[in-house]
Amino acid sequence: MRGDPVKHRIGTDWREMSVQIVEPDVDLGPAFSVEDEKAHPGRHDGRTDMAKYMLLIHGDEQQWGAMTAAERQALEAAHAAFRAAAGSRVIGGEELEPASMGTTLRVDPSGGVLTTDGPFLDTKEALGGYYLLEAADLDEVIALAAQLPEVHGGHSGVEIRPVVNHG
Amino acid sequence: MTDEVAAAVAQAHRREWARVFAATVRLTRDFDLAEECTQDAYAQALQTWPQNGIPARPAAWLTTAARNRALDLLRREATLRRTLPLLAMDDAVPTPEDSLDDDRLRLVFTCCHPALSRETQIALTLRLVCGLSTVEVARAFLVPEATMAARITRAKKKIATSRIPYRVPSPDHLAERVGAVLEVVHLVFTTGHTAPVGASLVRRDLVESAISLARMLHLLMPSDAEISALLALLLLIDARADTRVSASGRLLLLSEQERARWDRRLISEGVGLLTDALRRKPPTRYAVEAAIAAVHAEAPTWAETDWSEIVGLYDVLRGLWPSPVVELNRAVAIGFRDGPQAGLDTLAPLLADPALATYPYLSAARADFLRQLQQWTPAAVAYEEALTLTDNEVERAFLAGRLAEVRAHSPM
Repeated sequence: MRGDPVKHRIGTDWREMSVQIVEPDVDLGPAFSVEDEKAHPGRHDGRTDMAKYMLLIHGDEQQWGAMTAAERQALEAAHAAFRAAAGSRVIGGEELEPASMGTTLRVDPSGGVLTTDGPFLDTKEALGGYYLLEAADLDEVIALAAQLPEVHGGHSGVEIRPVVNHG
Repeated sequence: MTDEVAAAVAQAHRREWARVFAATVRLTRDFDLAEECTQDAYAQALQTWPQNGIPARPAAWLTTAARNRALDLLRREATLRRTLPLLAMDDAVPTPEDSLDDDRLRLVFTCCHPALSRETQIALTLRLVCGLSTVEVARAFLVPEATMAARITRAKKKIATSRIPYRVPSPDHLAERVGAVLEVVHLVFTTGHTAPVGASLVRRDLVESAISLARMLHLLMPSDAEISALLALLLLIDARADTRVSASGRLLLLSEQERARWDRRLISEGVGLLTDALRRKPPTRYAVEAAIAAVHAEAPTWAETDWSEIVGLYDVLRGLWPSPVVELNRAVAIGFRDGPQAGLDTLAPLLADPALATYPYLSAARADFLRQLQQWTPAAVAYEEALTLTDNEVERAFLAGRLAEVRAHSPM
């Protein structure tokens, strides 16, 4: 209460944050804010204990479509720099045609295959590309992926998904 | 003897859980197995210590017992474990000159990794670093035990499958990662200091967990000014712990608290830590908050509180940590310095802030200014509003008392 300003502050100031604690399953999302860095130089080479990660590049296709030639060039240069920094950790990666170019297959009520025009999930933000990486741990992947231009694009972002290891 | 042993084991659980568990994780590379072995070690202590006596170094004894148990299980289950994802950790032999080489720090930084949500970080830290049981963590955050168990299980699985490393971050990321750990410690403390819901004002277990975490971090990283400042803040606030509720259970305001019973030892420790932090680094958020707590702690009486100093510190704090709640606290301090009308005027713009729309302390602060100005009817409305937003029963009782008081004056 007002008579105890310090109690105010400590007990309550950050109540707007502590309220989040009681939400059972709200994921606040990963707060990636890792600075660019040469991720653990030297650790990659000779390590056999590596895991695979998929980097899924999501974003607003309209904004990607509206890029000028110069912006496009800058984006490609940034990807080239990422691939150079990641070196042999990159196993694969491609840019994808827009979601509207997709074709989706599902089962129809009679049990046959239903072919539809368009993406599986029709959302404003679509999957625009991916990289498949190999790395020793998540910190190494975060440090690399933070260099991708889509992390800094505002409308876009990069999701890191570990690949299932079937041994 | 048995009582003495039970007390020694309980104390070792409180003080040494993190050390024993973290050292065992290093061997098992698996949280679940390490938990099992650490629990076994404590159970073994209860059986063995009555006969053989309490060891001179309980933590070392427990660590050896837990690691032996782990080696035994690892040998037996070698084939089964080949299919499990193990924690990612560096194989390098620890170097003694590296002051940050401590398994407890690896554990804390893993639990507070930014790839985990804030509430997951808090749950894991309480479970794995403080050694609280899942039931205790669930009770602290008012969720069913099954929900909390599922959250902790999912988090441990994510750490293993996505390979969140069991490692102290590199120097260039350390400050940012320490910041996340300190936020977790601070949130545990604030949740304990005034429980969001329930019959008691304080959740002592959470307050103690937060302070022991802050002490551990300070011990392991003594030159980090931000850690010193947070520990100072927690100690200065906790020094008043025994005086916040009357013998009959009524909430006591800072103005009513019996200052002679404030813990002088904690206050001087807090002031020392704060002074040291301010010598190392320009003031940060926690340092300024600690400074405000120190002004209160050092005021001999409520009437002698230096409100100008406190308003000045809030001015600094709003620059470092802009938040509508800081604005509210500053308005309250201005009310004490310049009178209730000035306070009311300062908090007026906050009434439109959506971030404070359901914030009970805004209504309570406004109600108190109106009460002092003898505007009985609006004061009653504001107290009613505060009551609908408050779920802690001790605070509710206080607000209800004030409401009755102003209603007695109010014509309606």
